[in-house]
Amino acid sequence: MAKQSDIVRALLILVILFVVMELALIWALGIAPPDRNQGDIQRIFYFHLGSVWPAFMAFFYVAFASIRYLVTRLDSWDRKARVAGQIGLCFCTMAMITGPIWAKPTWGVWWAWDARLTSTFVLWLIFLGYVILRDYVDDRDKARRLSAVLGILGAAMVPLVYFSTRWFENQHPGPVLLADEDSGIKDPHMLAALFLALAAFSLLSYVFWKRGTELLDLQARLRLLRMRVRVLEEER
Amino acid sequence: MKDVLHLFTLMLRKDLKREIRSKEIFLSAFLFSVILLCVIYFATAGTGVSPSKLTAAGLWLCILFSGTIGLNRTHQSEMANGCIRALILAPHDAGWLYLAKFITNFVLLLVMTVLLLPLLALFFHTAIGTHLPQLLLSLILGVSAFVALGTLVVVITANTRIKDVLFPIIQLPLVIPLLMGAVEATQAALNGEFASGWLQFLGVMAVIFLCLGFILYEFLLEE
Repeated sequence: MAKQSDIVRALLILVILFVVMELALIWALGIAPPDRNQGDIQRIFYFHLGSVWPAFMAFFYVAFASIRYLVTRLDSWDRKARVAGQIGLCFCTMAMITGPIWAKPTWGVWWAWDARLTSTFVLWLIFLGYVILRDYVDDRDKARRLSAVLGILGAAMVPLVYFSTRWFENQHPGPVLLADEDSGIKDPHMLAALFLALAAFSLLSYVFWKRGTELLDLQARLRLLRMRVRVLEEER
Repeated sequence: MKDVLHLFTLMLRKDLKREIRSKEIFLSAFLFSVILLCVIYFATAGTGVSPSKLTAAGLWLCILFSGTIGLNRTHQSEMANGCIRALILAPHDAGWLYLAKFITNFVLLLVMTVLLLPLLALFFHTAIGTHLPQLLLSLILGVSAFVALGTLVVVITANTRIKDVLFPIIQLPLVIPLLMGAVEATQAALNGEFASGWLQFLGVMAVIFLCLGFILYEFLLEE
C-alpha cells in the first residue's frame, strides 16, 4: 500500500507540472514576441530545446544508474536506468520530430547534416540500441549487466558525438541559418518562455520516469510474489 | 607483468594459429572488402566524382563493414565448444584478457587494411606511397579505436538471440564519430596534410574505449 504522504507528494508534483506546462504554453505561444527573422515559426524552439534537454539528462542518468547497478548489483538501479533510457529515447524522438518541422521553413529542407541534428540523431540510434538490447537476451541477470555496460558506453559517446559533429561541420559548412537560435534570446519574455518550457519538460520527464520505475518495481514485486506462491503450492 | 606478457603471447599465438589454419576470418573479411570496393566504384561512377576523392571513404567503409564481420566471427569462434569458459577461467583480470583480444583483433584488421592499400591505388588511382607515414598513423589510430570499441560491443551482442543482426545495429552508430575523424584524417594524409586535430580525436577515442573496455570487460564475462 502506498503511503498517504507519497500520494500527496505525487499529486502535488502533478499539480505543479500542470501549472508550469500551462504557463510555458502561454508564454511560448502568446506573450513571447515572434523572432525578428523567423517570425512565429521560431516558437517551436521552446518545445524543441525543451525536449532535447531531458533526453540528454536521461542519457547521463543511464550511465550513472548503470554504474551504480554494476557496483551494488541492486535491481532497483537497473530499473531506474532502464526507464531513463526509454524516456531519453522518447524525448529524443520528440526533438527529432520538432527539429525537421522547424528546419523546413528556416533552412528550406526537412533535414540538414547540421552538428546538432546529426549528434541528436546518432545518440537516438545509440539509445535505440540500448532500449531494444534487453528484449533479445533471455537471461534476466545477463540482460541487466549487458544493458548497464552498453548504457555506460552510450553515455561516454555523448561528448564524443557532440564534438566530432561540431568539428565536422566547421570543415563542411552546413546550410546558412537565417538566424541563430540564440539571437533573439535577449528578450526577457523569450527567456521566461524558454525557462518555463525547460522546467515543464524536465518535470514531465521526471513524472514519467517516476511512474515508470514504480511500475517496474511493482512488476518485480509481483514476479517475486508469484514465485513464492508457486513454491508454497509445490510444498503443499 | 611477466604473467601479463605471457597471457598476451599465448592469446596472440592461439588466435593467429587458428586464423592461419582456417583463414576463415581473414579471407571472408578481405574478399568482402574487395567486393565492397568494386560496389563503391560502380555505385559512384555516374556521379562525376573522381575515384581518387573516394579513396578514404572507400577504405573506411571496408574497414567498418569487414571489421564488423571479422570481430563477429572471432568472437563466435571463442563461443564454439565453450572456449570462452576456458578464457574466463584464466587466472588473470578480465581487463588483461580484453587487451589481449584487442591486440589480436587489431593485428588482424590492420594487416587486412594494409593489404587493401595497393588495391585502392589500383582501383581508385590514388598515390598511396607519397605520404605513407601520415596515412599509416591515421589507419593505426582509427583501427585501434574501432577495434577497442568493437571487442567490447561484440561480447554484449553475442549473448543475444539475434547476435548477427544486433551487432552492426549497436556497433555502427557508436562508430559514427570515429568514422568522421578517420575519414578526415586519412583524406588529409592522402592530400599530404597532417590533420593533427582529428588524429588526436582518434587517439583520445582509442584511449577512452580501451580504458572502458579494461574496466567493463569483467562484467561481460560473468556467467
